[in-house]
Amino acid sequence: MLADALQAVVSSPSLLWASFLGVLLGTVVGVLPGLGPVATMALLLPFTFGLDPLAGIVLLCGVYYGAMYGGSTTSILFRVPGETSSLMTSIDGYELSRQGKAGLALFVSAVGSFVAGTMGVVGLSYLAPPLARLALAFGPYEFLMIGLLGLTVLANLMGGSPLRNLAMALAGMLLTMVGLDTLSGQVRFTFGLSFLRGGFEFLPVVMGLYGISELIGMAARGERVTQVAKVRFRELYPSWHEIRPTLGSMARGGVVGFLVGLLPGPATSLASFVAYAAEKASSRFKELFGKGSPQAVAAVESANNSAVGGALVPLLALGIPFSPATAVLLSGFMIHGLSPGPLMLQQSPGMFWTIVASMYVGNVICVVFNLPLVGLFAKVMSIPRFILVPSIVAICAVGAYSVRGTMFDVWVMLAAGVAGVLLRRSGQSPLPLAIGMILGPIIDSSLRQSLIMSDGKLTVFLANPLSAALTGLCLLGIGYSLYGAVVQARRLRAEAAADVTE
Amino acid sequence: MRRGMGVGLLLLVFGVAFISSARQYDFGTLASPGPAMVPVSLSILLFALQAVDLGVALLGRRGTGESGAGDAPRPREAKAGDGRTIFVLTTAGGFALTYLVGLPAAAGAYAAVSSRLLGLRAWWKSLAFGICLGVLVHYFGSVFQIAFPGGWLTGLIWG
Repeated sequence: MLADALQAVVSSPSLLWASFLGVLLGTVVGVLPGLGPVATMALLLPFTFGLDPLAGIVLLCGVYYGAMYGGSTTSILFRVPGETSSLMTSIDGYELSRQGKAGLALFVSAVGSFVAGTMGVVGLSYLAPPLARLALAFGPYEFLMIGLLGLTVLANLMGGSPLRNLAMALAGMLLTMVGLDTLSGQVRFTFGLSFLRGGFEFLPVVMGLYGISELIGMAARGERVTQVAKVRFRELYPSWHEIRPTLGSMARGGVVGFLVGLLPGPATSLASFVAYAAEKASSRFKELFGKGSPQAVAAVESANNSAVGGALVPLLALGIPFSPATAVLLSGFMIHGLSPGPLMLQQSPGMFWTIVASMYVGNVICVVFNLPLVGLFAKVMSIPRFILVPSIVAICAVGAYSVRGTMFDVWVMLAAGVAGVLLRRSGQSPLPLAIGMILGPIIDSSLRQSLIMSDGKLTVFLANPLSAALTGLCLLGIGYSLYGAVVQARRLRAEAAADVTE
Repeated sequence: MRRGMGVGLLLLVFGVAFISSARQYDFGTLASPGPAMVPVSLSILLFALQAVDLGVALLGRRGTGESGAGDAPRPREAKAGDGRTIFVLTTAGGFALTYLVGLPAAAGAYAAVSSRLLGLRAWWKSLAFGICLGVLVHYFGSVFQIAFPGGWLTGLIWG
């Protein structure tokens, strides 16, 4: 199946172009601090209308993993992480650059990204089909519990107050319940405002939270002219002696990244943090971490690329996105009349394998183009903000307008941008809000369907071993969140008491 | 006000707004849930969680874990805050202009003004940039067959 799909991708000019264009755009947005892959994918979504459905999805996937490659370039050369997932790369990568080993860092990062990106796709090819077969037996109870489990895991993994994270996710869910209820056909919670009848679309909100809010921050910062570092072509190919110690780190980072990618939340950035910590704990050269360790760069870059494959597993196997990037991909599928999930794998497996094959090809394109064109991609950083910011805002406005052809979405995008700035200033990530908007409709419809099917009996959630296990995991997650809140309250009370004593 | 508590209060108000408008919609029963059942349950949960979270924050000196309680903003932060406000207002102005002159022309005007605000010194360069961006947005719409809103003024001029 995979071999046929690979042949189909390689022999199809439209799919090859889509993959190349996606990777190119992804690398450019990865280089630019500000506009991330989520906002770019959301932005490109309306423009894929004219493309063949598969080419559109391949292009969006290319942006997602291309951004992971691009983020490392500026982290290593300028200590400016283009993406949050490249934050850890900027520590050791930049130190290596200062020691005159930028070529080694860039090579290890590119090869690690390729190796682990391929590992992630291999993991996706092996894990998604059996998971999809299992999911065919899922009813609304199981989908409800998976949605709730996603929320509780997210609340505990995000850091900060678990209760606040959960509350943010609930607010996101409530936003999706404004407007037409698809089950009853009634309009709800419009507060008497006619423009709310259509409800809030996910894409303008996510473009505001992730794109406009970064642009507002960029506009407020002072002008900074970035000097582009020169890396000679010969430096990009280090000796085997330098590369050999990083091979194990690439493999470990790849495995850790894939596993973390399966979890709900900020898959790629979380994967890079976990991989850095795991590599440091297991390394024989701990003292080099933070001072220019090629192993650290290899592990982190491998992890964030492999996490992309992991994050696609729940989307392609279950049809449930656990991150904003995969939610935008889901919107892409739906715009083209496709619905990822167990049925897609059963009824049109060719489509699934073509997407997987395009990712193998895309990874090769990434490594072939990224290394020789490092200097060119780095030059994107020197575009002045007075050109960059208004251009991106204009493109965002066009993108938001074209979702439904209404100015309301453009205003929602701006409001979400302001909300994103306020949330970040108060130390709160906007991610739970975005995840809440993804899981809200799933939880709403599956809860009501479950209750109707069981004639109102709540014991239905314990009726079979799978739903009982999922219910148990959910309760455990909620209990852990409450325990976290109690611990936090005790700590704060102790701090307050110590303050009074002083 | 402590940082983080503002967001908490906003979430609390959000929950209350949903609860207060719930009476207009059918809640249903467990066997036949209405359209209001899930939103109302979620908003009650949101209210309860936020009440607990704010209570936890009030117990401590630093609110929800962030520092800077009641600190006066530093001059650099205040300057960045002004920059943010001006940028948001300019962007809102650009979007509002769409109703008058249509999206491509509004995008061009916005680009010209905001590029000046963001440090482009020569006015003619701002103008040229605005015209280029407006034309690009117009052709972008033509290529991707996006019907942009025309605007009241352009409608008056071009019919």
